[in-house]
Amino acid sequence: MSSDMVVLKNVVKRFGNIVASNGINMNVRRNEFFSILGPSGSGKTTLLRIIAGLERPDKGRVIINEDDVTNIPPYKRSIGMVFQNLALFPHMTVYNNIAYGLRLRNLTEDEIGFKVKESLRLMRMSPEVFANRKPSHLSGGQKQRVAIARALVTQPAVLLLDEPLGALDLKIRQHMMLELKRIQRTVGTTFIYVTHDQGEALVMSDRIAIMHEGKIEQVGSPREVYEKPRTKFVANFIGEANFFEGVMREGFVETNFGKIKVKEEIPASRKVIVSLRPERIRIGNAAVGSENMFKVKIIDLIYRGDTLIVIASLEGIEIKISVPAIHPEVMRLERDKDTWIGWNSGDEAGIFELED
Amino acid sequence: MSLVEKLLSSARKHRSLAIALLLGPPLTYLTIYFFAPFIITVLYSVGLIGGRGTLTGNISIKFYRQALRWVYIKVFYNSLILAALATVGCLLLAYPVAYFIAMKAPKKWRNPLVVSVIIPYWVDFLLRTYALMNIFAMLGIMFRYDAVVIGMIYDYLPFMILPLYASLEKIDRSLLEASYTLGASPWKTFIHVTLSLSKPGIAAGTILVFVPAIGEFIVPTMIGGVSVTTIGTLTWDLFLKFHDWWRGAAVSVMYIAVVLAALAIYMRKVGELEI
Repeated sequence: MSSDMVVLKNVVKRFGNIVASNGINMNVRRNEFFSILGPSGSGKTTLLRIIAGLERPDKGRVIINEDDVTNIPPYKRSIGMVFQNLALFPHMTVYNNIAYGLRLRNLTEDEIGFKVKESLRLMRMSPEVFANRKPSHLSGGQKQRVAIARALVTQPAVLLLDEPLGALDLKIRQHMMLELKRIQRTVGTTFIYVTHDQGEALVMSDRIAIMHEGKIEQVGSPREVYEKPRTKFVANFIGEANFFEGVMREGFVETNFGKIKVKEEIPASRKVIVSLRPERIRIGNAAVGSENMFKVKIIDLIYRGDTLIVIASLEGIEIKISVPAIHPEVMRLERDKDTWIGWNSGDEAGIFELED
Repeated sequence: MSLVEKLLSSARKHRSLAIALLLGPPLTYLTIYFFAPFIITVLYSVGLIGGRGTLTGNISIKFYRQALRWVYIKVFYNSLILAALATVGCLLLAYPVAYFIAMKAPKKWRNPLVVSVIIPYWVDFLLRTYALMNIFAMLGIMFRYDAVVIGMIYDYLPFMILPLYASLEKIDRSLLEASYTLGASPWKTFIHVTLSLSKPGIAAGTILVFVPAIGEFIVPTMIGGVSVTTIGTLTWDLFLKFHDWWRGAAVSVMYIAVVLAALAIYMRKVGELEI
């Protein structure tokens, strides 16, 4: 048995002049929580719909559980899908919504009743309370759970989720993220989760694919894509980053404000961009002794509770620095005052070659 | 304070006056052209109005007793069957049309297609029926029962298509996709999702066709001739041929009662669907 549950091979999909999938190759492993992360218009939903069979690729193959399903309609694929608007049947009760897929599979009404109740309990919803309600009498979070239960109850090989948390408010969304993770661990089904929210992707995923303009920029664990972004887009999209443009020299990058010592090896005299996470930059006395030290002027201080965001100007370039709010240096930071910032080589998130 | 604000605040102060002004014209209109004639009809049916419009002062149910004669009941029955046939015919023809416009036609074509359904009906009802008579005469089916049914289907079709279209067009496409991903074929999806969710449209269209079809007068008269008698033609005959306004009034009141009863039963059934 292959370790891959879903395989996309060179998938191409165009809508008129727009290339939604530009030669996508992707492997999703068994029992994995896999996220497709990208801004709106990056082609992530199209990719999910191609896996579901709701869109037909112009080129390429779709393989689910070792079967080539490229030409198989969605209702013959072993998939479950949770839609962005959840798409609960408004004319059916919660019970009948969840039983819908089971009834199509010729189970007895006893078996169906058992499975519906079991799946409601997995969602931590009481069958006695909710089974006979219509979707219009449920809260956002409850609808969410019913939609997931309906998609999972038929035990599909893979569950596809299209930004299902988008409509929920922050608190419930944070709660549902942990719930989804719990549910995925409990049932062990392969989840493919589409989102534009990096927070959701980082919290829940085993691996993340970052999409941009119909292409996958990078696939990796949350830690990999955050700490070792392979492209400038990924560095910018996941978390926050400062970017310094310069020219590569032996062991350092020459910028218009000075030399930056770096670890990465890139052939000399190439134009490059150095990316640096705000939390990797030290400030004030803590910066003293760093390999890279610069004098900056503080433009603004933004208090975020757990952290303090310092906006500083380095020769006219705006720099973001994130400091824990309990850091001893915090008291000394004042607007319009000069201070030091610093970091060591190897602290940079990445160096990206600029194409001419 | 701007003029609009002034108007709004004075409207709030004189709320009952505003309501009276808004409701006054339609109520007056309905009173003169609807309630008054209806009450006069009821007065005739119970014999309170006699010959030459004089008041008799006596209530009698003898006209109802006459209207309950077997021949009249058969006319009622015929009208209901004819209306039911026309309604079913309209539904069977209208559903595919509405379905195509709402679900299959490209979005920019939907409105033009809906308009194209209505355009033929800008021609006067009578003229269209004359046109139909010519076609039926050519086909040699004039004065036949099936020709009357076809004529009625033709005349009422848009009243079925439009509400069906409205309810089908509202159906969220992701519901159909959800059904596919749960393992339902397009046909099963149609039965369990599309058809179920278009029930309000079916209910509305059925009422819009069935109710006026019961009282249909022109089509049975012009296409059916003397071979098809309906409540409409019977009422016409009683009032204008036999000048028996009392019996005509009794038949009319009974007709309204039958329609109201049928509607009440139907609405209760529809209410149980609760979508």
